Amino acid sequence: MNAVPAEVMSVLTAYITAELTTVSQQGQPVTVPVLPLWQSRHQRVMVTTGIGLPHKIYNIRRTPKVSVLYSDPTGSGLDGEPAVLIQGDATVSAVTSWDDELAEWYSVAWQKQTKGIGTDPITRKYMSWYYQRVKIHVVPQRIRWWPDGDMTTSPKVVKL
Amino acid sequence: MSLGREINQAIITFEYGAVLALVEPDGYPVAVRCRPEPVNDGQALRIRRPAWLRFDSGPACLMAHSHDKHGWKLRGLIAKGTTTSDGMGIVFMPAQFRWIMRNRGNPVGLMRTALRSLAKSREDAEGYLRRTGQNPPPIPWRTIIAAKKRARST
Repeated sequence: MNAVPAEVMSVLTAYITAELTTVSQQGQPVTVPVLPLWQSRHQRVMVTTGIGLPHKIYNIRRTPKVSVLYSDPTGSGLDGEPAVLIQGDATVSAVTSWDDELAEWYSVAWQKQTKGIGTDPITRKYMSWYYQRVKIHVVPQRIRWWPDGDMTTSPKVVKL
Repeated sequence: MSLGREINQAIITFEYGAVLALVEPDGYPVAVRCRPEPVNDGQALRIRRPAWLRFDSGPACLMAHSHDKHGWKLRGLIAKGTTTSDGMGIVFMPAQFRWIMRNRGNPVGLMRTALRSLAKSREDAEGYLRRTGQNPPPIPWRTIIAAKKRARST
């Protein structure tokens, strides 16, 4: 199995957001912004969603083929504006409110997103769905990347 | 105003443009960062063809989003439609367009939209639990609050 190149890893760990694309029942691609966590020990991406926003989970349950694009360097601190496109197979977990993986994801999210959804009494009452989450694990099959971010040019490619 | 022109006027307010997503023949979605331009009297949007993309027709999605360096001030939009090729690039013909996150505009309108979204998410959460036969897990608020405090202090 090929390893994920170091220049790709630096993007996967530094970018705050990425764009997850799933495919709907009608075959329509649907892209949403997500806050990804690269799990190097498993060589996979984890994103999560509150169950109040379940459409991507329904899509993945029907069609596990997804892509995760890293193309917005805002706040990453990286020089240049590299882009990385991961295509892979996704699985979804049961609904969870806390475990080791979510703890790691929250920790990264809270450090990168220094503002965000609160834990005040009103949020707890009306947005508990945000803290009831489904984990989405994406195992990469193919990674394309563009060191200068110009995606109209031919990418570097690695198959995993 | 035509839908294509409306989408374009919205997209140009995003520093990094938009993301066009298509589905490759092997079934995997593919997404590219792009800066669309209106064509056909603003009815459609043209995207520069990536040299490596060997197909261009089918259902497609155009999405833009932004955040500040703290991961906040979120804005986003999505347009769904289809793509074809006109020899000069990929042409996206929109069928639907909506903002998915908005923080500019009339405050009353924004509040009304936020409250509607909140109600819809609560319904969708209940629906997801019902459809998948799961019970809502208890939320360990003390653990979450303590972990958040630790993360923010590092």
